[in-house]
Amino acid sequence: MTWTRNEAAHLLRRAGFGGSLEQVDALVALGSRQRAVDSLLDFDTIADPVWADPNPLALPNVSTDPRAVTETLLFKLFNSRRPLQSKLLWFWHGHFTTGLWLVKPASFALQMERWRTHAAGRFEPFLLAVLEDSAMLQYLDGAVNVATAPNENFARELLEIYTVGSGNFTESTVLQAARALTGWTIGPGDVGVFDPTRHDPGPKTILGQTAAFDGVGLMQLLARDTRTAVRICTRLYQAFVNERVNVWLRDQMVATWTRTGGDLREVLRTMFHSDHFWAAPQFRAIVKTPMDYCFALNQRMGVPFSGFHAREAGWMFERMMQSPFNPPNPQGYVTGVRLLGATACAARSQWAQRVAYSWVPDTTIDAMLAAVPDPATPEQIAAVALARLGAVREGTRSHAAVVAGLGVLPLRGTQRRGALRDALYLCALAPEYQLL
Amino acid sequence: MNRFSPGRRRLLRASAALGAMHLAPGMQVVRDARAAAAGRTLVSIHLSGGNDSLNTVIPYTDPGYAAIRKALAVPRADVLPIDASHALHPSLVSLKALWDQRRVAILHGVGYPNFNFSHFQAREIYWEADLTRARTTGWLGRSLDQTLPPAPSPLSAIAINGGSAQSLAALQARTLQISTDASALAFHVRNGSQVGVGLQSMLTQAPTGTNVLLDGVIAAMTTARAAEQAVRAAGALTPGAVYPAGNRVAPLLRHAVQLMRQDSDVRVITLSQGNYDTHEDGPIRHAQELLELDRALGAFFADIDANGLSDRVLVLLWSEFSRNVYPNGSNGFDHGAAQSMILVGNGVTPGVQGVLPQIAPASLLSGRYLPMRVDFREVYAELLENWLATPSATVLGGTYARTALLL
Repeated sequence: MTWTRNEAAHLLRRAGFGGSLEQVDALVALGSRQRAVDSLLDFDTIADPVWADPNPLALPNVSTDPRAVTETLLFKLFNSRRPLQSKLLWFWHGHFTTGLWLVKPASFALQMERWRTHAAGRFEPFLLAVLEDSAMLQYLDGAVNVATAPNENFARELLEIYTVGSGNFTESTVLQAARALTGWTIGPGDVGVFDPTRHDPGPKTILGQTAAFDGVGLMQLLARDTRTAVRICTRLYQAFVNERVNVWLRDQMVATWTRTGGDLREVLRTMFHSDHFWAAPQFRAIVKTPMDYCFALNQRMGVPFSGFHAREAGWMFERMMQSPFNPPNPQGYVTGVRLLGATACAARSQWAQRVAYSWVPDTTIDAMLAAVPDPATPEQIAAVALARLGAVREGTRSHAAVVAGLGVLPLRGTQRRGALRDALYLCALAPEYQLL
Repeated sequence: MNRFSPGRRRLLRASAALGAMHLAPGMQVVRDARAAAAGRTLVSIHLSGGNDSLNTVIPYTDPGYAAIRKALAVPRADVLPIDASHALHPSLVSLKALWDQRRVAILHGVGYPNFNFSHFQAREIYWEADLTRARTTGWLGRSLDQTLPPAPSPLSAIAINGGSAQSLAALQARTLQISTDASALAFHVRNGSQVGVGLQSMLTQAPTGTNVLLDGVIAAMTTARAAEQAVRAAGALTPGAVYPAGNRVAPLLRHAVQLMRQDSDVRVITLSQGNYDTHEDGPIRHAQELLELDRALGAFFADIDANGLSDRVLVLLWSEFSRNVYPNGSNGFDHGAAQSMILVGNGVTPGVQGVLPQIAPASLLSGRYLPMRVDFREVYAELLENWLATPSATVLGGTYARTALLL
C-alpha cells in the first residue's frame, strides 16, 4: 500500500496539531500507515519533558492565577512530544468539562494531569478518576451533594453528557444517581474523599438495576453500559474522523470497546487503522478549532510557541469562540462552522498575519525561496506557499486568489520575500485551510 | 446609510395594529407580520449581577417596604412616583421621562419555578430559556434560526462587548460579537493593497456547489468580511444625541444606534451593563449603577428619535434574579428571586402590569423573596410572537401564554 506525505500530514492534523515538516517526514520514513499510527498512539515510552516540569514558563502564581494556568497548559499542549496525547487531552477536557475560572486553578491543573494520564487508558478507571476529581467536585457541586440535601447537578451532567447521553434516562434516574453520589467531598491534598456519614446508603434504581449504589458502583454501571460506549465512540469519531458520523466505523469502534473492556487506545487504533479514516471524504472534513488553526500554522512554519505566544493565544482563542479551558457550558465547546463567526474569522486573519509577517524570520523565508528563480512569477511564489501549508490545490478559486494577491509583475530579489509572506497569509485565509 | 424608509415605518404601524389582534390565524397575517418584523430590533440589556427590583420599581406606599428595608429603603421623599403605588428609583430620571411619554411597560413577578440562586446558572436559564440548562443554543438564536432569510445580513444579531452572546447562540444563524471600536472585526489588511485584492477574492469566492462543509466555511468568511465593512461604516455615522462621558454603557448604546442606522436588518442586539451584585453597600452602589444606565438610555432614546427609529426599537431590561427583600448584615442584599422586567419603546402597552405582593413575610417566597407570578417564558413568547414574528413554541419547547406587554 502506498504511503504518502499527504497521508502523513492528514494523520498529523488529526492525531496532533499539524506538526512540522520534519515530523511529517519522520512519519513518511516509517514506511506505512500502520507504523505511523502506532508511533503516535503508543506514546507512553516517549519522554515528554515539558509535562514533567510543573512550571515551564516560570510564571509567578502558576497555581493560583487562572491566566497562568491557561498559558502553562497551552504551552505544554503545543510543545509536548506526544502530539496525540495532547490532542486527546483537549478532547477529554471538552468531554469531561470543567471551567477553569469556576474552580480553584490548582485543582484544575491537577485535573488536566489526571485526564492526560487516562487519555488513552481504559474508560472505567478514567470515570472513577472523574468521580474523585477535586475540580469536578467543585464545578458540578459534587462536594455539596449530601444525603440530607441531594444536589443533582453532577448526576445530571454525568448521565447526559459524560456517559449514556440524553434520551437514555429519566428525571427519576437523575435523582437516584444523585443519591448514589452523595458523600463525596474534598479532602486534604485536594483530592476527593468519600465520607460515609454524608452518604445515602439506601437502595436506588438506576437504569433498570436496583442496588445500594454508591459513587463507585454507579460509575462502574455507567462505564459498562453499551450506550456509554456508543456515545464516546461517536464523539471520538466526530473529533478525529469526520463531523458526519459513519455508523459502520463507529460500530467497529464500539465492538473493540466491548472486546477490550473499554480500552481507549485500542478503540483509537481501530479508528486510525481503518481504511475509512484514509478515504478521500475524510480529508478536510472537520472545521479546525482555534487551537488546531493556530498551532498548525506555527508548527508548520517552524514558529516556536513561547510564553509570549501562549499569552496571545489565551485571549485570541477567546475571540475565535473557544476561550481556552473555559467552556461555555458543561456540554463543552462550540464546533463546526459555528466556530467561524465574524469576530472569529477576523481573529484568524490577525493570527495568520502575525505568523506570516512577524513571527517567521527572513532565514525561513529565504530557505523556502532557495529553489525559486529570480525573477519569479507570482505563480511560482504561490506554489511555494501551497506546498508548505497544504490545503489549497492548484487550479482552485483559492489558488487564483493567492496569485491575484501577488499582482502580475515578475518579482525580483527581496521583493520575493514580501510576496511569499503575502502568499502564506492568503493560503492561511483560504476556506480549505480552515478545515482539518 | 439609513435604509429605514418612511414607508417601512408606516408598515410597522400597520403591523402594530395586527399585533393587537395577537396574530389571528391566517397565513397572510403571519406573512405580513414577518415582513414587518424584518425592520424591528430588540435591544436586550442585561443588568448583570442581580438587580434589586424592589429598589428599582418601588412600592413606595406599602408600609411593609419601609418597615422591612429600614435604612436601606429608598426614602419616600426622593422617589419618582409613576402611579398611586409605584415609584421609580431617583436615579431613573430619563426612564421617568419616557414613562411620561407612555413608552414604558413594567411587569412584576417574572421568574421561573425552583429558583436558581447561582449567577452562572440563573443567567444560563434566561439565555437558553431552559430550566435544565441542557441547550447549547440561546432563545434569540433559535428565533433567528427560524426567521432569517438564507443569506441574512451580517449584522442580524449582535452582542456588543460579548454581553449575553449566549442568548444569541444559534445552530445556523451567525452572531456577531463586536466591541465598540470595531477592531475585533478587522482583518487588518490595507485597503487597496494588492494582498487586499487577493483577500477579497479569497473571502468572497463562489461556493463549490458540491462540498457542503466548504461552502459553509465560504459563507461564514464572506459574512465576516461584509460585517467588518458594515461595522466600520456604522462607526463613522454621527450620533444624533450627546451621550454622557465617563459612562461605561453609553458607548455601547451609541454604537447600537449606529448599527441600526447602517442596516435595517439588525434584529437583535444584546449587551450587559453594570454590576448589580450589591451584597455590600447596596443602596449606594445600586444608585450609581442605575444612574449610569439611565443617563445612557436617555441619550439612546434621543438618538433613535432623532434618526426616525422610534417605532423600530424595543429595549428589554432584565437581570438574572432580583435580591432578597431583607437586608443582610453588610448593608446590602443577598440573591433573590422574581424580578420586575422593564420594556421601553413605542411598541409597548404603557403601564405597570402584574402586582407586587404585600411586602410582608407571609406573602413572600420563603418569607424573604419576591415570588414568581409570571413565567419568564411568557414574556419571551410575547417578544417572539409580537415583536420578532417567530412562532414561540418551537423556540421555547412548549406553549406559553403571552403577556400583554406589547401593543
